[in-house]
Amino acid sequence: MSRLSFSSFAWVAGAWILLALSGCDSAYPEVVVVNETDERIMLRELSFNGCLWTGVLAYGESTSPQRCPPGSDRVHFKKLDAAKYCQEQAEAGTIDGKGLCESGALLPGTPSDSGPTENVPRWFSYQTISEHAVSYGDFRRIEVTLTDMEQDFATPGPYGH
Amino acid sequence: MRNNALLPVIVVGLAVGRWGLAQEPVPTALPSPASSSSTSPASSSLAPIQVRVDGERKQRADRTADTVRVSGDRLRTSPKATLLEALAQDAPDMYVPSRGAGIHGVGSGATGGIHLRGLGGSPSSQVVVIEDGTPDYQGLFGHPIPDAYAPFLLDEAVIVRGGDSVLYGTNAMGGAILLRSRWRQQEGWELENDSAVGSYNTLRQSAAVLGKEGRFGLSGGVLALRTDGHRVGAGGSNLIGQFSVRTRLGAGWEVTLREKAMHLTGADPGPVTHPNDNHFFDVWRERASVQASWHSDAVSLRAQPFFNVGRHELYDGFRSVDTTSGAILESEMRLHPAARLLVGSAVDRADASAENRVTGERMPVRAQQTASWYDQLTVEPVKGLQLIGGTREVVSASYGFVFLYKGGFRWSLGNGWYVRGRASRNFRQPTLSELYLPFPTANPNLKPERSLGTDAGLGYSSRHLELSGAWYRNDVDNLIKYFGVWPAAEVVNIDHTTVVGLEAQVVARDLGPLTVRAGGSWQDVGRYTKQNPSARGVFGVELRHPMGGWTLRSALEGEWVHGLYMSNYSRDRMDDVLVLNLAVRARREQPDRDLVVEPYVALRNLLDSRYAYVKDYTMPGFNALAGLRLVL
Amino acid sequence: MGSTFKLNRATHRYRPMNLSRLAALPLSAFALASIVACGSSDGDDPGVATVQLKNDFGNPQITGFQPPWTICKSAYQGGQFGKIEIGQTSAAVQVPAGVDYVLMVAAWNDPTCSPEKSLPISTKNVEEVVGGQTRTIAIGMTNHQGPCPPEGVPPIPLEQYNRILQLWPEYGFKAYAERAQNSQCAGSVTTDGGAEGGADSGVEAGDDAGDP
Repeated sequence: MSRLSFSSFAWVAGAWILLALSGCDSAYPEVVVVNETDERIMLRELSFNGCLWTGVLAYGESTSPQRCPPGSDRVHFKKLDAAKYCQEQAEAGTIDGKGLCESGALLPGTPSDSGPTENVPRWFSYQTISEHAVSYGDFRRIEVTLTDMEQDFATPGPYGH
Repeated sequence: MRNNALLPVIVVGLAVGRWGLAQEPVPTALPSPASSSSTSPASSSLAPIQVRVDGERKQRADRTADTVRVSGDRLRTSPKATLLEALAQDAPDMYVPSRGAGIHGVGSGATGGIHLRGLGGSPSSQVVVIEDGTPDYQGLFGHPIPDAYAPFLLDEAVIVRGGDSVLYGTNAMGGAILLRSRWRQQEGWELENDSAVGSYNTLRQSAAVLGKEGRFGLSGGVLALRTDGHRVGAGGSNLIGQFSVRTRLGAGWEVTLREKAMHLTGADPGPVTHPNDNHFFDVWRERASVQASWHSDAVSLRAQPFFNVGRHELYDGFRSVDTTSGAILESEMRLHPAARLLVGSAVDRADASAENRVTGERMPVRAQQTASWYDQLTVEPVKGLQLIGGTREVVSASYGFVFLYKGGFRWSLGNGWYVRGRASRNFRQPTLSELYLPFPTANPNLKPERSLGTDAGLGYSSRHLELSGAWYRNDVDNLIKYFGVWPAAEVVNIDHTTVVGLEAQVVARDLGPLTVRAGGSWQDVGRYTKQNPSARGVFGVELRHPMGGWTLRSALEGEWVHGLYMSNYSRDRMDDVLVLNLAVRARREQPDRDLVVEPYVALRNLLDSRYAYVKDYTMPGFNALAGLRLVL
Repeated sequence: MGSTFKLNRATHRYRPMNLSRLAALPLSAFALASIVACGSSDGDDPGVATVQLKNDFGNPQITGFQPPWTICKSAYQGGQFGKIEIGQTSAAVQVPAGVDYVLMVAAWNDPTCSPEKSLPISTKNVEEVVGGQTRTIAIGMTNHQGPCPPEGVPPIPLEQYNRILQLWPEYGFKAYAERAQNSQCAGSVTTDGGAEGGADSGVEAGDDAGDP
C-alpha cells in the first residue's frame, strides 16, 4: 500500500468516480409500455418500478422510453373499457342506442377521476399478472395484453373517498 | 403565530430570574475517538484546533446518562447521505429510515424519523432534538424536521439515550439528540468550501466561515443541496443558511446570537409500484435565539430565549404556519467540592394556523404553552462514584401538572472500567395536530404520554479498546393512539407498552492504520413493531494512511437491520436490510499556502442491493458522490 | 469522561482493583437484569377490552350511495355481537385485547335478515383494541368488504371468508372460489358501485406518515 503513489491513487480514484457517476442513473434500464389490449381499451397512469407515465395510452400506442430503477415489478395502470362504458350508458338511457358505441362515435374524451356521478367514466386500477425484471443497460418493451392483466387493489378504486 | 408569543417567556423569565439555563451535557459513555478529532482545519497554522470544552458543558453534565458523542468532522466525512443517518451509524440502538439519497421530506411518504430504544419514529415526537441549547420541533406536529440538520457547521452531536425529560423537557422519552455548532477557538479566520457532484444529478455545495477577532466570534455558512433523486419524485432541494455571532463582554459575560433559516422542497415519490405525480412539499423555516451567559469559578448562569417559525405547504392544498417559542433560564453552582446543583426554568409555547387552500377550510388550532422548573443535584461521595438526582415540574393550562424525576449513578472502578445506571420519568405532551387537526380525527382532551426509562450498563476504555454494553427498559403509559378510520376514527390516551433491549459496542482503535467499530442492539418492542426493528447492527473499518504529502482516509461502513415490520403486531414484515458504504478521502495540508485540499468520494450501496426501510420506497442502487473540500 | 478521569488520577492515588473481581459484579448484574428484562415484556397478558359494534352504513358524513347492509351475525376477537341494524350499536362485550377483523353475515336491504339476502362480509381494516379500552368499532361504507364487489373494489380475502363459513355454516355459503356465485350476490351489486364499496384511502387511522 505504501508503495502506491498518490498519482496512481488519483487515477484509480478518478476512474472510480467516473464509473460511479456514470454508472448509476444514466445506466438505468429504459422501459416502454405498449397498449396491446383492445382497440376499445385505453390505459393511463402507467407505472413500473418507480417510473410513471401520466398520459393516456390508446390501443397500439406506446409510452416514451423512460429510465427506471433496475429491479422487478409489474406494470400498474388504470384501464377504461370504452365499449363497456358506452354500453352501460346506453342501457341507462344516457345515450341513444348501442349502435353509436359500436361505431366508436361515443368514445369518451378527456378522462377524469370519477366521483359519485354515474355519467363519468370510471378508470379501474389494473396490473399485469407477469412481473418484469430489468437491469442496468436494458431496453425493455413491455406489452400489456388482455390475457396478462388483473385488478390491482393496492390503490383506492374509483369509489374511493 | 401570535404577536404576544414571547410575552409568557418574558414574564416567567423575570419571575425566576435568579435561575438560568442551557441544555447540553458533557457526553460520557463511550466517547467516540472521533470526538478527539472534533477539529477544524486551521487557516494559519493548519494545526488542529481543539474544540473548547465550555465550562458549563463540563459542569451540567449528567454523566450517568448513556451517551454517544460524534464529532462534526466524523459526520461531515460520513458516506451516509444525511446527518441523522450518519449519526445512527454510531449508535446501534438508534434507527433512522430513509427513502433516497439526501432528501427525507415532510408529510406523507417522509422518512428520517428518529427511533431510539424502541421509542420515537414517525413522527419523531418521542425523541427531542436540542440544537445549540434550545429544543427544535415543528409547532403543529411536534417533531423535528430531518432535512433541517446538516453537518457543515457542526462541532459535535451527542445522543442521550434513554430519555431525560428533567433536563430536556417534552419529547425526551426515547432520548435526546444534542447538536452543537462550532466556533473558531484561535485568533483569525478560516474559510471552508465543499463542492460535490454525484449520481442522480446531485449537486451539493457548502461554504462556511469561522472567525475570531478579540472578543468577537463569528460562525456562518450556507448549504445548498439539490438532486433529481433516484426515481421520479425522489428529488428535492435543501437550502440552509445559518450564522452565529458572539462577544465576550468581560467580567464573565458572553452574549451569543444564533440565526438559522432554511428552504426545503421535494415530493413524496410514492411507492415504486404506484408512484405519485408531483406530491410536492415546500417548507420555509426560520429560528433564532439569543444566549446570555455568565461564568465564575463557582456559579454559571445562562438565559436563552428562542423563536422558531415555519411555513409548510403541501400539494393537496394544506398550508400551516407554526411557531414554537420560549426561554430557558438556568444556573449551576458548586455547593461543595463534591456537590453541584443545577436549577432552571423553562417556558415554551407552540402555536399554529392551518388551512386547506383548495377547500378554504381552516382548522381550529389553539396555542399550547407550558412552564416548568427543574433541578439536578450531582454529588461525588467517594472517589469515582457520581450520584445524580433531579426533578422537573411542568405546568400547562392544557393538561395540568406533570411531575418528572430521575436518579442515576456512575462508578469509575479503575483500570478503565465503569458501571452506570439510571432511571428517569419522562413525558411527551400531545401535539397540536393530535389535539385539533381532523387528520383523521382529533381530541382536545388528550393528556401527555409518560414513560419510565431505566438502563444499566458497564464499559471499559483504554487507549486502543473501548467496550460498552447496556440493558434498557422503557415503560410507557398513556400512549396517544388512533383507532378506526374516517368517519369513525378516534384518538385517545390508552395502553401501556414496555420495550426492553440490549445494546453493545466495541471500538478497537489505532490498530496500525486501522480502527474497527462494531455494535449491535436487540430489543423486544412488544406489539409496537411498526418501523421499530428488533435488531440492528453497525460496523465499520477506518483506514488512515500517509502517502507522500497526502493522508488517505477511508471508511467502510455497514448497517444491518432485522425484524422490520410495516405494521404493529409483527405484521407486514420487510426483508432485512444490509447495506455497505465506502468513503475515501485524501487530505493534503499546505502550510506555506494556508491551504487544505481534500478530494473525496462516497460510494453508497456498494453491493447494489435492492433494499428498503419503508415498504415499496426502494432505496437507490449503487451511487456515488465526489467532491472537493478546500480550507483556507 | 476522559478529562475527568485524568484529573482524578492526578489528584488521587488509585489502588488498582482486581480486574476479575471488578468485572464479575457488573457482569453478573448485567446478566441478571437481562434475564429479568427479557421475561418482563408485556406481550404475555394483553388484557381485556370492552367492545361494541356499530352499524354505520347510514352515516350522514358519507355522501352518495350507501349499501343497505343489516348486520345479522357478527363476531370479533371471539366475542359474539349478534344482529345490528343500520344506525344501531350492539351491546358491549368483553374480548381479549388484540387485532382482528370483525366478521359478519349481512343482509342486503333486508332488516329481517333472510338467508337468501345474506352474504359474508368483514371489516376492511384489521381492528385493534388494547387492554382496558372501551371502544365502539364502526362498520360502514369505508370499512367493509364482501365476496362479490363491483369492479375496482377488492373482495373479502380467503381467510376471513373461510372463518365466516366456519362460524355460521347454517347459511351454506359457497366455497371461496365460487363466492361470486352465491345467489345473494345478484341482489347486492348495484350499478353505481356502492355495494361493497369498501375502497378507502389505504391509510389506517393513526398512520402518521402524513405529518407535514
